[in-house]
Amino acid sequence: MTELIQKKLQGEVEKYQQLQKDLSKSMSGRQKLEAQLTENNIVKEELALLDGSNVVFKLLGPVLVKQELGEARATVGKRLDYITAEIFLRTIPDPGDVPDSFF
Amino acid sequence: MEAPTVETPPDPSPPSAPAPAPVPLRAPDVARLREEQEKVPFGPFAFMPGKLVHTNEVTVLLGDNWFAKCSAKQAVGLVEHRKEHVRKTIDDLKKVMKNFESRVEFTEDLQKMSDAAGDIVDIREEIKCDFEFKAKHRIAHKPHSKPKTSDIFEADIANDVKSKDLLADKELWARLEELERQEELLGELDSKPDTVIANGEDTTSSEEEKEDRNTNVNAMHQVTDSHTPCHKDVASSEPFSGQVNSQLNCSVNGSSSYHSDDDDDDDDDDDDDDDNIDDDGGDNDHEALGVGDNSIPTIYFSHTVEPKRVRINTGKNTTLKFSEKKEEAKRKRKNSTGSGHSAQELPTIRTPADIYRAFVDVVNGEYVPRKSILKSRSRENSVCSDTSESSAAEFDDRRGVLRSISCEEATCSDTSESILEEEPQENQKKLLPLSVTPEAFSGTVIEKEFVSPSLTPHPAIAHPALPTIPERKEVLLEASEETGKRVSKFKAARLQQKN
Repeated sequence: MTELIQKKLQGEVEKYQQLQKDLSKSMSGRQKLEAQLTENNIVKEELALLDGSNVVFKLLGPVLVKQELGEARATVGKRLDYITAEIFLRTIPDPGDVPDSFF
Repeated sequence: MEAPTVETPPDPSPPSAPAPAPVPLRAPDVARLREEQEKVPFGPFAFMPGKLVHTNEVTVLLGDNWFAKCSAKQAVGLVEHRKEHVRKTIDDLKKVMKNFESRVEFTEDLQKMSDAAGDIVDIREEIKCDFEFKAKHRIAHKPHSKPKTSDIFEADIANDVKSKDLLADKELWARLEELERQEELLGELDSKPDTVIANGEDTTSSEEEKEDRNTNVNAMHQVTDSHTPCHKDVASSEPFSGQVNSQLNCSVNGSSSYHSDDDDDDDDDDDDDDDNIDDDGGDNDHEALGVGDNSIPTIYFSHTVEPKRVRINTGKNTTLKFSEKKEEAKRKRKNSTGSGHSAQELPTIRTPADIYRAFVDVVNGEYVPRKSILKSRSRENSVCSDTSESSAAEFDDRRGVLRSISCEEATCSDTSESILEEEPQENQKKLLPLSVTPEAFSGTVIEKEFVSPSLTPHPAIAHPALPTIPERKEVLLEASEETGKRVSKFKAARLQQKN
């Protein structure tokens, strides 16, 4: 009898730990995405401040690659959209998780 | 100021400025970036034609592996922009901190209050088993529907049409819940050992509890501040509320009748319960029958089982629980507050529901409920009450309460109307109002038959009191004269009792 309960308890504890891991993973992923989001927002705004007279570079590994301003702006915008979509996809199950019986 | 060298990219001082730290003071306002034709000194005696390149050029990290070469002026602009961003973040964080700090402060205050104050008391009731009520749980109109709040995501998805109706209902429910809770708490502060306050409302559906939690906090505060030890007995009203609310015919009136029922044991005034009058905790009647032990800030109440309970059918689907013990207690208290006219055995009638409770036949020594108080068999055995003065101040309260319950059921409406008729009559007949405190119902019931068509109950009894009372005064004068001809059973019984 007690063994049964212990086993049950063990199972529940494992489940709980698993859930916690998932939670921490999601949290860290979410944080990363949020950071990228803000950064890209700043880049977008700063690019808007620049004009055509100055040269824009992109760092790819050890190389600074020349880019055009318009191209840079487009790229940053696309990246921004991608990040937003990622955040939305990865965190949408939040309201769905709460079971209806709660209400 | 750095010297622009010839044909070598200088990349002066902070080339990449990821940190928003000190703006390079050396960056002049000169915006030139390009080459300039100049005569460059070449030794002490000659000049060479040459160009100045990369003057005033700064390579700026824009973030996320993006770089830009810009003039110093532009760089300064970028830096300023970043500074703004940082400032905004700091401000937001400060706001968040303020929020937390205020919460902490509030909790600290609460703690201080609970430690220090003597008259603020925590009241608890240990519940060992479920209450033995046979009432149904309250069923929501639409299960799983929630009030329209911005926080709840699902509410937005759900209907727009239904929610408007629900909203009005929900607001009323919330208000009523708040009043109910207030009343319970007020009752708890009083010390009658028999009285029981249901801990929370077992019959409430969870959704309504949810929305009431916010209002409840305010209600609790108000109660603890005002601290009116008023006696209250909820045991009878609890199942009643369960059943009334399960009907959901007329939500306002149903719950209001619950309120009016609750008042039957109260010496409290009805300001708290009246839907039309604002809450006024300070005006409550102070009948301190000895509050519980105040030295320890917790009062533990226990539910005492009452010996006798009789179910009384008060209408369509509602029942009340009538308890002999309660009636006696009521009578004792009633007599102690001093109404000289009341007979010793008559129960106090404060609400129309009381009347039903009172009209209980004694059959073989047992209390048996009667199906209809208008058609009773034996008047002699019935317990009717007819006394205690009504004051003018109680008028409005009673009217307000009765107005709200009038729509609910046919019999109820009949009763209420008959009571309303009697009120002006009482005012004329009785000389002095004994109790100044406004009450739902003075307890005086004077039965009279329905003489004139204006007195007959009609379906739309939304506001029976307002338009008809002046007329009724005259009508009643006539009616009272007619009593000589036809005496109703009620009247006969009471006359008998008086004699």
